[in-house]
Amino acid sequence: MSRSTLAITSLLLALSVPAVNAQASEGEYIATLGDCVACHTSNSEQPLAGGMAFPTPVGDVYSTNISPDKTHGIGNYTLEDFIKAMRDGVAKEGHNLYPAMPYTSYAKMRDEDLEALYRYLMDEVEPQAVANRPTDIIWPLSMRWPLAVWKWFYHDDSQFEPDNKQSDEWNRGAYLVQGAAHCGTCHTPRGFAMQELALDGANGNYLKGAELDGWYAGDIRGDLYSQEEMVALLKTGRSDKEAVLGPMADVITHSSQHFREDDLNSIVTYVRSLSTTPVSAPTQLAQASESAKTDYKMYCGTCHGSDGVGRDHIIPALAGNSTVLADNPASLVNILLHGGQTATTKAHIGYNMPAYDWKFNDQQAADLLNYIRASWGNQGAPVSAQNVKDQR
Amino acid sequence: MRLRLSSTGLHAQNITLEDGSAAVDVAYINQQQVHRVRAKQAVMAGYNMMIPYMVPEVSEAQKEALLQNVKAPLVYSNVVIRNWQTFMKLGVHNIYCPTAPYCMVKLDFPVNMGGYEHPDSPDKPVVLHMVYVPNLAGSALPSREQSRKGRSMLLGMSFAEHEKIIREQLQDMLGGVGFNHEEDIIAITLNRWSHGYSYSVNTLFDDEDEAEAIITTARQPIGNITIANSDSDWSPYAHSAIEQGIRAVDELIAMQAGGAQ
Repeated sequence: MSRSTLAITSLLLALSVPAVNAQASEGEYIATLGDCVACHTSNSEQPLAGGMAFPTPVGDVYSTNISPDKTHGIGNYTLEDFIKAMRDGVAKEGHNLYPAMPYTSYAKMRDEDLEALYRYLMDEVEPQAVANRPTDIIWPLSMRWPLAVWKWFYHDDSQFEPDNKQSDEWNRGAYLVQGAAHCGTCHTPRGFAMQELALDGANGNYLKGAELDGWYAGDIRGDLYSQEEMVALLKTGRSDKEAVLGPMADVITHSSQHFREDDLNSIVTYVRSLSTTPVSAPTQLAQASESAKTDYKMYCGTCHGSDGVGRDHIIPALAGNSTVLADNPASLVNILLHGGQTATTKAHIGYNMPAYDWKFNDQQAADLLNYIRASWGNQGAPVSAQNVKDQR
Repeated sequence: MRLRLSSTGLHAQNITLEDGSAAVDVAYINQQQVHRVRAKQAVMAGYNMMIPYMVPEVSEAQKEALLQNVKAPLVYSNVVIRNWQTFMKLGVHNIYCPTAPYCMVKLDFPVNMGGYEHPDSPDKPVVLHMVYVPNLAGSALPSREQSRKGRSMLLGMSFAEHEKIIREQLQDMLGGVGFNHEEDIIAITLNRWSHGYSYSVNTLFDDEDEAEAIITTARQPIGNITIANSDSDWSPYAHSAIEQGIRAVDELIAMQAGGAQ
């Protein structure tokens, strides 16, 4: 390898941006919309070979190999087999799939899109001879027949139906959000059986915000963000006031930054059209202490500013920030304790927020977050030391 | 001459003695005790940006000039790897990585010193010298602001975060030719300079004449106190430190020749 080749390779590796072919087939684009790689790739050198763990209360389940390998992957799937898996949650071998695979969303996809996706997986993806990993769930809990009951209650296999009263842009957005992009998987609250409480925007629970794996995926219904701001967040992970960290940063890195401009606008048009219910003010407000103000100046102010305004499109503002002010402080606590990285996109490398779990005890961290939730016009609910402890 | 080791300078002040002669009082701390010494003259040869705080009598214009020297944070990491066959396979010894955290990764200099002999075979362990300048690359923020934010980031990072960055970068760079960070990294040491290299003129963004004027203002003598250190030349290198030390002493001599001020 020549030195120049190595330098270029290093640069590409450092950026860690998944290469998406500028001449991507429609199937590859749909795979990007669905962010298949996020769940089905645990080793970047073996794309779509599965193996990613998904914790459940009874043990981990692992994503499967969806490369066209005939032994371990889906190389023997017919188009009908594939559509059945995507729409009905049933594998070619006949067993029910765990709903960690969001087939409740994929069911809404059109047959032609599923066929394009199938063609991409079969014809354009390299087969990976990687065996699927069995779940860690012990028998009898590992029996899959109860999933049929779960599906009977909670799964609707009908395709997306456009709303003739809405624009084409709105319908395209609804189709993408409810279907391939499966936004509800993280943003819709779940019920006792871990089912999403709603699968479309007509139900006020849809995209109402939910906690998942210690992160709070916020309420994105309505016009909390302007059209431009939300498109910017999906495309770059940053807007003039906010920045995305945590699992959504990965979604942007691998998926939404590659969405076509008109699709991004359609998605945002749809989400912004969803009705909202008035949010009641917190009954108790966070209080800013002097000691926390000192900590803020020492550890936060250099980047976020003594006035909490950050730097447009680089350092998120804390004043008026939706994550800072969310009723559920999970993401805010998580970011302070564990840090994070903004999305890596075609235009930007990611920026790091350091982890401060080593610096602050539970009460100090809570005090600092309360200072942030009570300053510069912010009026958030208090964060407790227990909230912090729960996230360590 | 008496060297006061383990002593941290706190304060320097021009004073006028009862007989009308000039002197400089210097306060320093040693073993939690504050001491004061009196001299005819003094040289401030440390981090220049601290001078406005240590010599508060400095004029506002000079303070402003001194505060322009925002140092870049810098991390030198030494990573011992099991052997350097991967570098042999790639045919390189020094790799620039413009967008990676560590912008330079190189085999350390092959120096023999005392009983130590550098590894003369690619099968032997070797030290990698890795350079990381925490900043906000690509942000288009002024370099001084990037340095401040990078410093804040550096001071917030645990060793575990540094280790993760190092392992990921080396694996990405060398994994294709057989490197396995879990087996091939033997040891890591971090050398963190939150205030590392002094600010340097960047001719892409800085007006050179303006920069020169700031440098000249910043290192003006303050009464009988002169200013040395490589910072006073915005040039973070040993030769600059020597040159500026000579200049600062020459200024003292000139003062004496003309009568202490």
